[in-house]
Amino acid sequence: MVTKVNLGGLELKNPVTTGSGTFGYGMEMSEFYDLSLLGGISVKGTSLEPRQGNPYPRTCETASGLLNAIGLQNPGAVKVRDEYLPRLEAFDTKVILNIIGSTVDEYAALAEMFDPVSRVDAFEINVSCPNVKSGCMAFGTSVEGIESVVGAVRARTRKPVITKLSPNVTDIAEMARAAEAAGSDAVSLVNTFLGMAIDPYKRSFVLANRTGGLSGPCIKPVALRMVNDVYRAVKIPILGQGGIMNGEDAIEFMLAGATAVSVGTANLAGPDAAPEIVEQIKEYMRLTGVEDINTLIGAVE
Amino acid sequence: MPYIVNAQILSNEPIADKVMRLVLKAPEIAAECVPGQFVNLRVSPEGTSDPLLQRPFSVCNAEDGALTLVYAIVGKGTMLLSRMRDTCRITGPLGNGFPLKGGDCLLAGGGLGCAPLYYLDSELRKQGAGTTVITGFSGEGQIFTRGLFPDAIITTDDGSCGIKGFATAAMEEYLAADSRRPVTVYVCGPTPMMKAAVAVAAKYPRVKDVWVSLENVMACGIGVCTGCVCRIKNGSGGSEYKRVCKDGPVFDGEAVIW
Repeated sequence: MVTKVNLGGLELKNPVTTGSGTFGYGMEMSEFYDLSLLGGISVKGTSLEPRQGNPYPRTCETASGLLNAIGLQNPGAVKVRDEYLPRLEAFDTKVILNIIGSTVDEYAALAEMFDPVSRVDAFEINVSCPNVKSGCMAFGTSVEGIESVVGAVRARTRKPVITKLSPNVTDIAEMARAAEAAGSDAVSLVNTFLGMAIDPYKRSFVLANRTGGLSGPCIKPVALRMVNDVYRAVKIPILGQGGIMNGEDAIEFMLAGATAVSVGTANLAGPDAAPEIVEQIKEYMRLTGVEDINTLIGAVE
Repeated sequence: MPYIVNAQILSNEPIADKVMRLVLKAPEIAAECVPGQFVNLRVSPEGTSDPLLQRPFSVCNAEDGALTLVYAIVGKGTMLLSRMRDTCRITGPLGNGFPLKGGDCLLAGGGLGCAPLYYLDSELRKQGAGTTVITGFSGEGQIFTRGLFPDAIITTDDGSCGIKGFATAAMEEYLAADSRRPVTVYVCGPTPMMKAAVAVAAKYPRVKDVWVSLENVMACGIGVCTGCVCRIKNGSGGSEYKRVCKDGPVFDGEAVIW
């Protein structure tokens, strides 16, 4: 049974990775299972300087979903490089560094700083977080924004570069084409959808940030459609995500065109979600007589 | 290290108005759990996603392979939990615990916050500490601690039982009674109650430390998402966000920015 996939030069032992922001830098989850079970992990969005994040409340459960307005709280690049990444040496899994910035120069500086770091197997350019006042999604909602950030990162590393796209656009395929033209080796989609919650008795916004990003099973149909749209638009491989809770969901994303998948909110619903999904994918392959998982990529008719 | 287990529900009964006691058979978790920690429970049937997230509950007792939780029915998740009978998927133990101190200890609980103080009280006394417990409730119908704390000082906001007033008033009386004996204070209850309790304790030099157990809305409960943050003073005059689920829920009351 072949479960190995190649995501734009990033070789994954199986197609299951974990979504940035749902996994920290791996340490908490490593208390539950061996991270080596996973194809890869995408660590929390890392900025040059430490970021505090948004005020509490930062989360709100919704019908089959979750709104989050974390605001990219992270300890900053130096601490990540010197303390957090070395702790991942113990695990045989690929590490994707998710990078965030308010300016193109910040993304460039991060690429330059982490290109020589051996524990970083790939970069995921975050131009899609909707919870900060500048940068991120502001870049990802225009062709020019994507071109400038991706171009700056591409020029500073030979490692695989994955651009994480925002679904809060009119045409995500257009954004994917921009990322491809600017030199991305792969695209990951989708990041969260802009949403909001109100408490009818306090008559207030539930989230301190007013808006947040929606994720979870409720977004799967839209995310799946977007993956297929992008699959039809670009040649580079896709890291598919959006409400994947089990092996069947993962298979659907691969059939739609994803080479690999990212499990995000499911980790919050239950810490053992990701390795369970690895097993469920293998079970699906056994059940349906699939010898090589690569035959499923884009195979929907 | 935390476990994920399918625990058998031994009992799930009402013990006061909209307050339930849930006893689960979970030997691995019970063996490792210390006072102040909590567990995450899945309240939606397996394979379903509504509610999506687990619900966190502090541990009232961990003994003989069983966990006792006390919870109020306040919404969708706890309503579903109150109807569960067979097994429940639980993750734990989670969070840090109360630091166990010797000497005199004053435990002040407000409402549901009294529950985790039971485990704390029994472990403190096992270690030779002398404990005094204050349990504050809004009214007699909410009291569920008579069996847990037969000797507790009871306060009720409406005066329907015990001393009329807040638990903090009973705290003042205790702390003022003797200025020399050092005492460690532990508080668990609604946020305004804990904030007031810390302010009361700060007036008495005999108080060595005040430990509080914070409660914020959680998503993951294990420290990966940073959704449940609170603001805590750090050493260098500033403050930072800490995770209630992982860096807490127990914090030094003096360091909390309420």
